[in-house]
Amino acid sequence: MRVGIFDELTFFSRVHPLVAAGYFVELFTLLLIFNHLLLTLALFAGLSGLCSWYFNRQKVLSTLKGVGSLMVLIWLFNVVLNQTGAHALWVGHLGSLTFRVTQTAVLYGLTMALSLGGMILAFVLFNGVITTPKLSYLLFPVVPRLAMLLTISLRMVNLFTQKFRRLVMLQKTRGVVVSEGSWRLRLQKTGRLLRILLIDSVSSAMETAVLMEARGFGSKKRSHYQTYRWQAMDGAFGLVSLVMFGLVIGLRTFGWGWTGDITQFTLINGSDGWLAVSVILFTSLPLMGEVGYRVCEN
Amino acid sequence: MRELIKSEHLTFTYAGQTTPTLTDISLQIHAGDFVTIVGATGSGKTTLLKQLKKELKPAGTQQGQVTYQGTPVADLTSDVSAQQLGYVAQDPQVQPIMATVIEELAFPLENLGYSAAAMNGRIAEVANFLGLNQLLHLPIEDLSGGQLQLVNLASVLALKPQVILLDEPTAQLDPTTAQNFLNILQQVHDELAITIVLTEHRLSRVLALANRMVLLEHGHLTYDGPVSAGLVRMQADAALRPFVPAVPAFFLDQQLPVSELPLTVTTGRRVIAQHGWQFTAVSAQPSRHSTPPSDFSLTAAGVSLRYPTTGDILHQVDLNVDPGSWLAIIGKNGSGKSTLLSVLAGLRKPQHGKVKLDQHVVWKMKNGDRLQRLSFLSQNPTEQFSGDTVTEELTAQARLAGDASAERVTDLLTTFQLTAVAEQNAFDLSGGQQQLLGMALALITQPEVLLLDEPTKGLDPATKLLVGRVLQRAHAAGLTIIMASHDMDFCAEFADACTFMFDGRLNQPQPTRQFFTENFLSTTAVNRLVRQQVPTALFSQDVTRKTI
Repeated sequence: MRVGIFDELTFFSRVHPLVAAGYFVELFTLLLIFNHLLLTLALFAGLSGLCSWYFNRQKVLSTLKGVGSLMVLIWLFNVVLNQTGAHALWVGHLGSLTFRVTQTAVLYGLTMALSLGGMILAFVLFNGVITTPKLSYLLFPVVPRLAMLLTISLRMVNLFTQKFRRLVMLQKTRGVVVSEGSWRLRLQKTGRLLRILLIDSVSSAMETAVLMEARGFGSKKRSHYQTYRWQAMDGAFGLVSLVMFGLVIGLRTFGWGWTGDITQFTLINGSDGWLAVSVILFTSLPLMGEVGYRVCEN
Repeated sequence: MRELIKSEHLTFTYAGQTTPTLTDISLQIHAGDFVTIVGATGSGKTTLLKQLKKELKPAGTQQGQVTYQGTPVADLTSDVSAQQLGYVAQDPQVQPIMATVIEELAFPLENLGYSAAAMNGRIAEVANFLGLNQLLHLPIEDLSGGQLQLVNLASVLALKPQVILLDEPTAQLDPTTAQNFLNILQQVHDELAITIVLTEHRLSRVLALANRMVLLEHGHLTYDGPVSAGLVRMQADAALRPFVPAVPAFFLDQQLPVSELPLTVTTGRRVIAQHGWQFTAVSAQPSRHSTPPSDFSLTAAGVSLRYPTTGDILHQVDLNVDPGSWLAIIGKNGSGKSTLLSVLAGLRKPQHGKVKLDQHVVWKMKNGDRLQRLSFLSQNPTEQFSGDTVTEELTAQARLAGDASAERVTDLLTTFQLTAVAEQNAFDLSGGQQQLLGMALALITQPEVLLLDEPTKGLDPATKLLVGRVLQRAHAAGLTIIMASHDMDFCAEFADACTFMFDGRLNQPQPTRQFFTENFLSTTAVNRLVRQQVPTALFSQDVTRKTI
């Protein structure tokens, strides 16, 4: 929702929304089509690099902290629950139960964790680049109502979050403390806070709706203010990313980067090196754009 | 002048009510008018304003009619209504719907189907006129209240309206920001010849801009004419006297014969100089004595707080609160007053420093124990409501202090004039009533220390006086009060000591009279008017005219 998460003068924030959206579609596709450790690691590393470049240190650290804990959780679940893998690394017994930590579980868990972590980072980056006005610009010609609804919803979500934080603080003066008492009590008090939030928000939202109508909302077919000019750099970036994406997809159609039988998982497969270089190059494209953008500065 | 809006024998009754809120209102508004609608809370000001634009009209029954350029307002098409009749609401937060300032300015133009090129032109023009160029790409949530209200005005102006209706547009702003907003409104009126109709409680600034005043009393129009004569009429009525701004009230109190009442300090000084009137101080009132409070200590030492997004808000704040004192903290929006109060109340934990009530760090105290000793009223009291009826809210709060007697609840309902709305939901009350309920909730636990954040925000002058008197009684019985306020007159009249908060730092508190006497800008209007003759004067009763 926040606009200008990173410097508005960067190449990536200046690229045409359509091209940027295309790049993200390609990026999300790549995150979904590989299950080899080296490739998911390359994608995760590339996205971490992009986030570190574009966002401030505090945001990167807090994102990586959140993503990291989720990744550890996924890896642990895989290690604990996947008992059918090959190459037991450790076997333990508890009564009649046998517990195995296998190489398959460790590697597959890592791959899944990196894949999900990469996906979250890609969404964070997407949120920074495709800001609400750009998203609205992309959706407006196709689904104008949805574009408007999306804009309003995003603002409302933001207002709700702020309001909820204030309520958590101020409702302490009414004896509602969500951090004191048993879990059951805490849950009850959170429910009470949500009820207050709802009553308060409905009352403000009704006033906002009236004021929207007072400014002509719904009286005519809406037009759209935001326009983005197509520039040479948009064409170049779009074309290069498409070629790179096509190349990676082509290699994937030969079966590279995917192992159907997870018991056959290994640390590195023979063909992974070339693919890893390709995906690293693909994720580095915005940074190359930045270099080009700066070189072209007056 | 060309007649724009005409109301003929308008009577309006809200749905579910039997008594009309407006009765037989006949009024004409001409092109180029700057009309201020004045009246106490509940007199029908907002209801009248909302009758002038069809989208805002509340549910209810109407007799008589309101026309705009001869067409009944209800029959105007939506685009004509949006384009020609702009509206700015009291709370700057409720109008914006888009993410950034530029999108918000474009919103009404998009609604009316303007082309991108036409929108660009309109936005550029409005942004230049109102000086919004630097704000265009800022997110709405990063704007201050004053900037937001300016964006709301700009968004309406982008449609080039004939009339702008404003419902207490400065009620939520600090005095300097309010003055800036009104200066811009004057510019809009004078340079663009746009008709302005606004309702307002704080009349000291706005009346100087208006060419007409309309007075509403209990839904009846009792005065419509020049401002000066209207003020004389209000001063004669005990219920309306508190509404008369300090400068004209000074001339009326001192019975200074003038053909037209001065409305600003500058004109007031000029008139005094022209007539050669001399004033002398009256003997000082004996200071108020309060019941010795319970012995406690509330201290803040080295308190520093930083928000992740906005940076440092409190810098090494030290404060030693004397039991039984009434301290007013004065400062602009964003200076850190509200944050400091929330830290003192134990609701927020700073990164550095300690606030101790006796030997206990306030944010480490059990919530129940803290509530018994400290009460806090937020500047948005609705955020402290539970969504129940007024009586239920008060009973629940009294229960927290271990005294849920119906008698205490009834007492507070009577004190704050809430008996008539006792069974209404707290969220359905008017802004002023919500503020009074917030105050009642803060007092019902009978705390030792009361922390008030903008206690007079949105209150009309008469209700403000009521709040002041109630707090004065509680203070006399030993209650310690710390309040953050923009309201110089209220602070000067009621607080014992005052201090400035600026850039996250708190100055040393000074006795109230000394504080206001030494200030050049932040002082009462009467002090600014006569300080060359009587430097210690804060109110008109502090001086008397010298007879030669």
